[in-house]
Amino acid sequence: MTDQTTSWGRAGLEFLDRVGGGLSLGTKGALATFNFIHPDAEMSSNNGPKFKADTVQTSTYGEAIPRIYGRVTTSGNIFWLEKNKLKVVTKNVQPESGAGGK
Amino acid sequence: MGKAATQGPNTSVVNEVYGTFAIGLGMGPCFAVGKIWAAEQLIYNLMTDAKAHIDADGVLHGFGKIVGVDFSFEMYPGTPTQPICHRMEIDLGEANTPRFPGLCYIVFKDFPLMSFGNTLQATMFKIEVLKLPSSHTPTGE
Repeated sequence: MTDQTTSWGRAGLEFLDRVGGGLSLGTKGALATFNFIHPDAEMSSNNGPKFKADTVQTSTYGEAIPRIYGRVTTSGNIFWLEKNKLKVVTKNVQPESGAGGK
Repeated sequence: MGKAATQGPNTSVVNEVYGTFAIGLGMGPCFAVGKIWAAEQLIYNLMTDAKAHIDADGVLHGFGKIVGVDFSFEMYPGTPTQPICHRMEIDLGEANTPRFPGLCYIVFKDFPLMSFGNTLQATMFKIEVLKLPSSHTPTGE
């Protein structure tokens, strides 16, 4: 428990350090961002931060459905994903022949 | 993920990631989707895209392109009698697929995620919903 607490504290510090102006995010955005930075994420952060926006894409059961008037820009709520996973297509690509080739 | 070195006799492996999913937007009935952003990039604009059309059931069929990869979507307007999404019906089964009467939602079909870190979280859609037809939309008025 103590271990976890300290690592979460570390993650919190890292979060503040990384985001800097984190307070300017909305509460929802700040919390969601915090969720994305897992204590163990240090090991796999080679690709750099992927999460940068001030609105949050949600996928929540029981979310309230907003009413729409006029012209509204929304992020919406994802309620269905085909087979509950993304489709990965693996392709073999021939190397470009212009670079010398065989 | 990305392409390997282009030199050498071996072929390189490229993974392409696609998502097929539905996003609930709000209470209907609505008319159309005006613009769509993905990760701060405008990927669809009804004002300039003449290929979008609305069928007899009120479903908007839109087409767009991200870095040369085509994608398409359907926007269900949220009427009480809107049709069932067939792609969802194939996945969930006929008995488990409601027509979501009154819910305006958008279904992306094989949406390419390669430009967005291959995750839906990073794609961060922003969708502009038009409640009523306007004189600027191709099929309005």
